[in-house]
Amino acid sequence: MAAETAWMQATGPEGDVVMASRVRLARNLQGMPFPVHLDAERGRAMTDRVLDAVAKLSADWELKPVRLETLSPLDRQILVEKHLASPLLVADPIRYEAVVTDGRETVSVMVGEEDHLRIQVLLPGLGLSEAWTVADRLDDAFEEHLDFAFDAVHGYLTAYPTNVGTGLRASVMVHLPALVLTREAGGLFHTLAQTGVVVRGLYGEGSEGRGSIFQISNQVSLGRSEDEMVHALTVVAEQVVGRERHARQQLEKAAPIALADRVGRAFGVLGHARVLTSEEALQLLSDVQLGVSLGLLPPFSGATFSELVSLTRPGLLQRQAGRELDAAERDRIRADLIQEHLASRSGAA
Amino acid sequence: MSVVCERCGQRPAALQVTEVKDGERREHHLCEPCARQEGTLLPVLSLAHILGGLVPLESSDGKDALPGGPACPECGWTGAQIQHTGQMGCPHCYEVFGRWVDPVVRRIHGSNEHRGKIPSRSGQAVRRQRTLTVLRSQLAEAVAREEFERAAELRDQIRAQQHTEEA
Repeated sequence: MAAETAWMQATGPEGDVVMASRVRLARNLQGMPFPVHLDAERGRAMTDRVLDAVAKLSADWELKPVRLETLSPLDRQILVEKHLASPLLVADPIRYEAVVTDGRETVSVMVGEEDHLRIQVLLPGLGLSEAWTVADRLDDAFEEHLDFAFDAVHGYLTAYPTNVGTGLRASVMVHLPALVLTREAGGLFHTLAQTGVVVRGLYGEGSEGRGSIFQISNQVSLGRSEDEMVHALTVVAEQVVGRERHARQQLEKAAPIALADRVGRAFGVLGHARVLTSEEALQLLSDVQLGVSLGLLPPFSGATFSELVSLTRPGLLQRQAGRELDAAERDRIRADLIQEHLASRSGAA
Repeated sequence: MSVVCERCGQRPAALQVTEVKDGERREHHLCEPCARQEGTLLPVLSLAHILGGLVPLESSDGKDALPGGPACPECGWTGAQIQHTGQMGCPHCYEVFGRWVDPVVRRIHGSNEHRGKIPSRSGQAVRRQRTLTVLRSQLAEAVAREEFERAAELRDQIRAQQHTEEA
């Protein structure tokens, strides 16, 4: 499967539960209004300054800036589906927004979203402290060429006071099928919420854990050091991993037939369906992945779970198909593409 | 995951509220409009909600509310705009509107003081200030313990720091 996005392509530490880790730093230029209050002309000046700085950074970063006005709506959509840009950044009207990515799409800098810069690092599996290390270095590199708005009390100044201080948001994308099946997820999320940790669905607010995929992130950005925040969320993620693995074992012990039946049915439908809506595909992929992680089913061939999940999104699906597709065609092509990555049950494992 | 609001029974519940009454704990699931109407139930506050007008903002001394005051002299952003968007207009707004925003920031983050990274360039003054504060408290301790040699060392370090600041 042709993909160039490291976090989707590879499986990282604790990869049976943690799909990806992300660290994001919000930064703003001194003496320049925040994007909410920036007219198009000054906005372009802001983007020019940031892209000038990008041009001066070491070639080792392999950074490639793209102004969004030069991208088709489909390509913008794909940036969002790869989590390299937010829906807000690519929303019309495009004025002066840009995205800077590296060759492996591990680094992405959104220019002109809520803040002037959003420096993001995305890694497969659980790797928050590694992601923070990279983000910190890139932030230092930018700082040699840009003066960031900062004061001693508030720290880094951001458009929303919710991000002020470190400007840091750490998050992990996790697959929790067993906690959802055993109905333990709700209680767990409730407990997490009381410790300043936020849980959202895969595609942000409102997408309630479709496919049992959730994003867990820190809410507080002020009053603790970056290392402390990253460590705290890592500990939370490790606990969630432990709970999910335990729930998987419990399922296997308490209801082995029901479990095998569920994942086997999902495997069967994915293997033979001719039409798959994105929601149905996401649920079935989630069930099959649960079966794979417990050794009940052969692993996907030639693609990771994350990549196949991305085929449930319209943009990446069309990129994969190589042409624009209407909704009915998408459901057909999706079924075909996913089928290619299911190992035949008899021939595998 | 999706729970329906227990008050209107229609909209999805967006907020979970814990009520402790007569020593008993009860959970309530409410949608936003209902939470707003239930005056006694203060929902888990997000800053956008507070700045967005769910809760009226008052200055720390309890006097004038935010929207009335003067605009930010740097960017022209007003208190009404902060309340409307939940966002500041420019970095300088933090100084101008700090009286209203700082208490909210404290409520959200549980802290009002940055303890993280300091940028190497725009944070130079802050970095020196932090060093000076540490040196001064060490000096006071040394004097209290009558460690005069150590105190003299620290005094020289403080002078050197102040000297670079002036330079």
